[in-house]
Amino acid sequence: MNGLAIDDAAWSSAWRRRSPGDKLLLCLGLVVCALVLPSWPGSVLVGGAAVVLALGPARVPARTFGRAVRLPLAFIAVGAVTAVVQLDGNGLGWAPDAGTRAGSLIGHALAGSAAVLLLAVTTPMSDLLPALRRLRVPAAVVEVASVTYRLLFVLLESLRTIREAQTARMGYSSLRRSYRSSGILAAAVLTRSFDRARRLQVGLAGRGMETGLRVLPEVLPSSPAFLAASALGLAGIVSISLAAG
Amino acid sequence: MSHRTLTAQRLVVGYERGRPVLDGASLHLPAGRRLAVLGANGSGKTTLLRCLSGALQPSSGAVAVDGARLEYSRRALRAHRQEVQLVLQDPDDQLFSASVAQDVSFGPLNLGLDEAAVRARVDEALRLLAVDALAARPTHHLSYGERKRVAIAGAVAMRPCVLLLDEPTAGLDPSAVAETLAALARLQEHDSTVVMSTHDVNLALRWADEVAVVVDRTVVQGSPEEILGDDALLARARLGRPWALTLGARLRDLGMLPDGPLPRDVAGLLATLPERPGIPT
Repeated sequence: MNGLAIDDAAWSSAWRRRSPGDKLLLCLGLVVCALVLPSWPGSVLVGGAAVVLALGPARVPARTFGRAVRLPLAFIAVGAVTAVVQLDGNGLGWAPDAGTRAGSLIGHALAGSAAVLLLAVTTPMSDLLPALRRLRVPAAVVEVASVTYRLLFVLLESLRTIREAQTARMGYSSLRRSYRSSGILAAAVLTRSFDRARRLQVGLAGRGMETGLRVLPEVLPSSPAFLAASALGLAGIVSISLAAG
Repeated sequence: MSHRTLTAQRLVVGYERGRPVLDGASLHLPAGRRLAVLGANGSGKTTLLRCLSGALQPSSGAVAVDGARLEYSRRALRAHRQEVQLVLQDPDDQLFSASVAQDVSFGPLNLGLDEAAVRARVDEALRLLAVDALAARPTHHLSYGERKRVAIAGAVAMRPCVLLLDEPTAGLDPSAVAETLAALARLQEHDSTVVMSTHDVNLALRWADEVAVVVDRTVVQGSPEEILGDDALLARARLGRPWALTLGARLRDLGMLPDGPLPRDVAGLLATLPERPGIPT
């Protein structure tokens, strides 16, 4: 395959054929729960539910999910440090309620990230973009996202090919050469991206493009059973969290 | 769809280092015929196809469909594109959508068709190109050959009368070439007149009813045997003689082939060779 891990997971997920609207509702519900419920046990339940649903019924590889969550985790960790450290007259030190604040912040953020990732690893862009159009996101925004998504893979392929060619000719054999090669690589991909965009415009004009990039979305019917199960699960998370709180 | 006659008359196009890419190039594509446009790299094949498709306006000369001269107004170009479609050499210059079926639906939607008609056209185009199994696949997961056929399906879904293909077999392995040619044969049965640019003289001899060579900024057109048997013309165009014609002529000189048209490919050559008792055919 020639793609990104999250994108590959979305295309091969067992939830690929589910209605994007259904998945959007479930994940939106989980994000809202992650934000408004107390971190214990609300965030834990939301995060747990997102992970279990992704690795279980949606059959997303654990390795992919783990890799996808790594980056937001690092970002959250850095953000948490700034929230629990304080600078006063005595110098640098922990805030009085550092543990509670860090736990709450990390809990909410991680649970919300896991819920968003559940949507990302089960819904390819080809399903998400028409859903955004139905949600009245401006057409220009959806079209730019659509072309960016397609060109991303074309340019990634260019990036890999040029880098391999540079490596084969000792382009990365020393730190100095690596800097030089990386600069040339970035410049080459930038100019290619402009050339690609121009050629794509010519190609699309030949296919009758006049007003915009309209395509016919795949028909993925909504499932009442899925929606009912989602509502029940979200109600359960809210009830348990409120009862424990 | 129905067959249309496409002509180009004395085209003068573009300038490269002070000289036109095409200078007085004329071409006649009879309805329902298969035309191979041959030429070396940089000879002007793509420029000629772009002129025929309306993507490029010549400095002088004219393109006409069934005798009606192409105008370059927005409305006229829109009508022309419904009849004449160009598929570019690099499929990534045409494929923009995340999934195959969505991409193929782009052209029919631009024609203002309703959803049911668009779905029917998408299904038909994918089936004709034998890529219906890829309908729900992401475009970036396809092989180069698959992307080429999906790009052709995107043009076929417009149901053009004339389909212009810029090097559709370039970069493909032999089985992908065979699949593409089989798809083109199905299109021909569907009343599409097909023009293919290539620098593969063997493919042109095997496939085409007519051959046009782009040479010295102009076009020389004729039957495959006539054009591809003209060594002086082929040398000027920096092309070689097809092996089937070379071998066929030698076998005829040796008395091993009867008089008549020379075979165009391996199957034709084997079919014309005399049988010998005890040697299986």
